[in-house]
Amino acid sequence: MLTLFRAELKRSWALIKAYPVDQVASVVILAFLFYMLFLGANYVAGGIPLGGGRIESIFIGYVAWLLMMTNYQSVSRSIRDESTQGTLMQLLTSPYSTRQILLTRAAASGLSCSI
Amino acid sequence: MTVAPGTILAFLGPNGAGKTTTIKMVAGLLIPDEGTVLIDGANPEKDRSVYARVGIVLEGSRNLYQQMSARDNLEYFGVIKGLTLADAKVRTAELLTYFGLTHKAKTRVSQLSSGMQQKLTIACSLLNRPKLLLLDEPTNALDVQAAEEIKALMKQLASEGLAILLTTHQLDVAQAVADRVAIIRDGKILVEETTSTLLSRFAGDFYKVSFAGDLGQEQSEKLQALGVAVNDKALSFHGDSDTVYRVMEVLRPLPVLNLSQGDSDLSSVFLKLMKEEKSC
Repeated sequence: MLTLFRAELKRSWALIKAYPVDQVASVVILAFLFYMLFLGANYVAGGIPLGGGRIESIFIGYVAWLLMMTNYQSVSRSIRDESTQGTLMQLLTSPYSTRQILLTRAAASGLSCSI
Repeated sequence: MTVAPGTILAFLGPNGAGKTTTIKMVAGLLIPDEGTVLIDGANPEKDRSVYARVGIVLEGSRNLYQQMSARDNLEYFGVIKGLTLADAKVRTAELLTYFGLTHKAKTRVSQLSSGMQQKLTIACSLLNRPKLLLLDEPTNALDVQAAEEIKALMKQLASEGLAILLTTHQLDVAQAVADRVAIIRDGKILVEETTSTLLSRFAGDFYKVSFAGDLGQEQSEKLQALGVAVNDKALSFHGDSDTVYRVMEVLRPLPVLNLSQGDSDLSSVFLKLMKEEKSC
């Protein structure tokens, strides 16, 4: 499984490098949305600084939120993309089960995006 | 139907006959309603480890990540096929050399020519050193040179001991590479025998006609109904002397340049079998 994870990590990096503008735009948009959510939550809380006002708390919150957003629908999106690209059949005929591949991929792309 | 090591079995049939479905059943992607698929003695439906002995190239897709380099694709699919990362790297280098793609190792797949992409797809299917290679329309949409290269490659792989199950609509490709031919229609195998036996069986009543001028729409339709294969200014068909006169009648008033009785080809055998089956 570690071998598969390393291969998926490498694949994620290769695809991130292939679409750098997409990746930067995605991070900027997600950061903006997070900031809006943060401001909204702050307002609802009556102006009390969330996480004690510490930047670490905000950062950890952002990373957790980013991971959640990245992995949410990751598996179903992966299946759709593989089907469109014509690579799904190759995955279905792997000695690894499709579930193993897609879950490992979700973890690897989550880690890539966070980095 | 059996594919022996070191041989190519061409699996032919009209659209919708069940060729790709059969390939998918052999690959374990579809479960057959009846019958059993055995690869090297094991059933892929029940034993996933069989996939380590099968290479698959499916029609209609390039089976590759277009935005990744040739090398990255091979290394990734090497792991997907069950190799370790180190083994996948070694095997990638071997296959890039074997297919003459070393100079394109870092090139994105989307920037490769169709022929190179198809070679890379076949290289991917060989990563795990399979015993059986399933090729679904491997020369589709390739130019003449690329198709010739793929044909030579298929022969070479078979000579190295690989069993190849090939489906194609290009009957000249099948005739050039296949040791055996199986023709299917509506899920039923009409014939399965060696290519040479099949061709010689139909050789006696085979005719070729060359003519000048252009065929009209009505003439083409009538010729098709007679089971005649039309190739530019030449016709080929199986039949008796009565069929010959009927073809001549359809051709009238175009000038006939040559009429000869000769060696059969797979296209005309295929058309004859389809016509016979239709009339049954």
